[in-house]
Amino acid sequence: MSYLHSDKIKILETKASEIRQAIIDSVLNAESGHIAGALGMTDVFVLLYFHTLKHNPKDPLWEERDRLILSNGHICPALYTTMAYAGYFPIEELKTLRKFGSRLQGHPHREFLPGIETSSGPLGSGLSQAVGMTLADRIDRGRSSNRFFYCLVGDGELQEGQNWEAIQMAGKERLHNLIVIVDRNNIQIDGFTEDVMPLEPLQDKFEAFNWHVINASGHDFDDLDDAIIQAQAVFAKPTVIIAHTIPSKGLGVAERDFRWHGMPNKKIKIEKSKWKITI
Amino acid sequence: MNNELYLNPKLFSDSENIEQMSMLQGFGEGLLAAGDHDKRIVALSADLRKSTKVDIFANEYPERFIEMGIAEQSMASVASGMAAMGKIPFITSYAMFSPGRNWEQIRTTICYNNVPVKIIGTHAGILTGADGGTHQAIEDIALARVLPRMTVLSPCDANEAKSMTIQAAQTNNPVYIRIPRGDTPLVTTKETPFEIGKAKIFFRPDGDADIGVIVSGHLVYNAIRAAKELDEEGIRVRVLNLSTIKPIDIDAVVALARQTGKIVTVEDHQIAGGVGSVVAETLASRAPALMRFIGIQDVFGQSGRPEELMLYYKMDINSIKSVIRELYEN
Repeated sequence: MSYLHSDKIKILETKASEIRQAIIDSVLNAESGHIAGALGMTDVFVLLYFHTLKHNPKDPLWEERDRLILSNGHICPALYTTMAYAGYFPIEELKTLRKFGSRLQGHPHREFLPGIETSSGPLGSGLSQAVGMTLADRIDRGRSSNRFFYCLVGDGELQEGQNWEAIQMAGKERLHNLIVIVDRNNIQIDGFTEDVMPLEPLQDKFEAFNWHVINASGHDFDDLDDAIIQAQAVFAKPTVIIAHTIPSKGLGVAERDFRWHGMPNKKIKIEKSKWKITI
Repeated sequence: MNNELYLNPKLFSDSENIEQMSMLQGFGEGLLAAGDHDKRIVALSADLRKSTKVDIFANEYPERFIEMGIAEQSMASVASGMAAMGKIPFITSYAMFSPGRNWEQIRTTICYNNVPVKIIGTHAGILTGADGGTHQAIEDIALARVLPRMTVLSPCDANEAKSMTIQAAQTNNPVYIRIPRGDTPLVTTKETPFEIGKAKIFFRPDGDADIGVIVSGHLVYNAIRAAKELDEEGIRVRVLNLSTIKPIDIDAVVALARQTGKIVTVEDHQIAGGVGSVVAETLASRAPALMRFIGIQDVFGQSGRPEELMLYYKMDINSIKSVIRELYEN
């Protein structure tokens, strides 16, 4: 079943392609930053900011907004760029990424840029904060609250024990307004997740903690949108969408290569012309 | 004594038979009083609701009480999320685990985020007693005070713990309150004024003082008794209750150092990074004084009754007196 019109999908795809190139340009300009996760999650950010989220870029603190909590703060080039294209701040400002005095800190800071829900970077604590926000919302508005709390986490990040403290609590409290999206790109700094410290069977682990689990393609807007709509409908449990993504998606020279988690080693010489998004 | 402060009169007339009360009880009553007035206040516990006395609030307001299970790291960040939604969360556990185990979560998700989460660290110091060194937090002041935006408070008794809790609930920044286990002497009364950021002279002999004692926490009682007994020997000692460790009351500390030139700090905490360090840092550039430091000297605690431990770690009245005497004669 498809909810997204094919015209809408075309618009999102074009947006994603523009944003990917802008991410590359801003990271190149900063001469540091994390490419693989940012490009891999671009489609998720685009769907959220241009379709799913209840938000107002001109009034970032609007009380009725959904909350987007980015736990793996290092992929913030994707967050910043999508926010700029959504109208939160001028696209021009992306050139200041990671520079002195910039609102676009190397890892997001809540107080620097309105629209950032929480400061993050040190891995493993975003999910707890999302749980706290959802709990506070339930205290104030009860179980029929129609604000949703979307928390994006990296897959390698799930090796941090604190996540599982939060996961057990969300299961206990049946926080159905909490929707977690895991960036399942299979890489982390030291290599492939299953070599560094295996996460599988990831679905079984979440289910054992009383979560509803949906697997989705992280690059298929239709599939992702279906997953989010299903997650919004599930009432008895929190939902995790395991979004299967390709790290560095769209940057041909870097796709699937864990060495691109951060900026590539200076020894990897890439011609300027290769820093181009090919999709 | 300082009459304007309405201190416990027994402190000066019958100090050995002074009433005792648990500072945890003071905190619990303070949280309930704060919660009565402000519905934004919520409390979180990591499986220690009775021993931290957060149960007083939890029993009255179960809908505003969150049981985390044994998960202090998540507790700090869950509280941060609740604060982002407009709540004023109090997180409660033993100081060893909060701010001990969850220090980075407090740094990043509470202080860096700048949200008004209040951290109640109980069983701080060696008064924790029989549980032994694993559970005696003697590093927590150091951990808390290095965090920008954090206010650090240490009550001298149950009354002050209650006033402190009520005032901490009204500030917009993160606050850490360290509270020991067990009953301690009531140094103050319900009428004693308290204000975050103000240090008060609790004992002032007639005339100019020879020595200034700067003390925080339950040891205020021992320090006052030591000062009183020394007064009878002709050594005049002023005792400053440093219940706000950060931001420190610079004027009060500097005035005492200028007046006496000799300062002794007293704390149930490591010397490094604690009250002694704060006072030395404050005075070094403003009013350098000869100093002595009473506290834990870079060792861990151990099991024992509180009075045995205070004797062993030289925080008892006689030990305080002998350090003051030595500095007086120096």
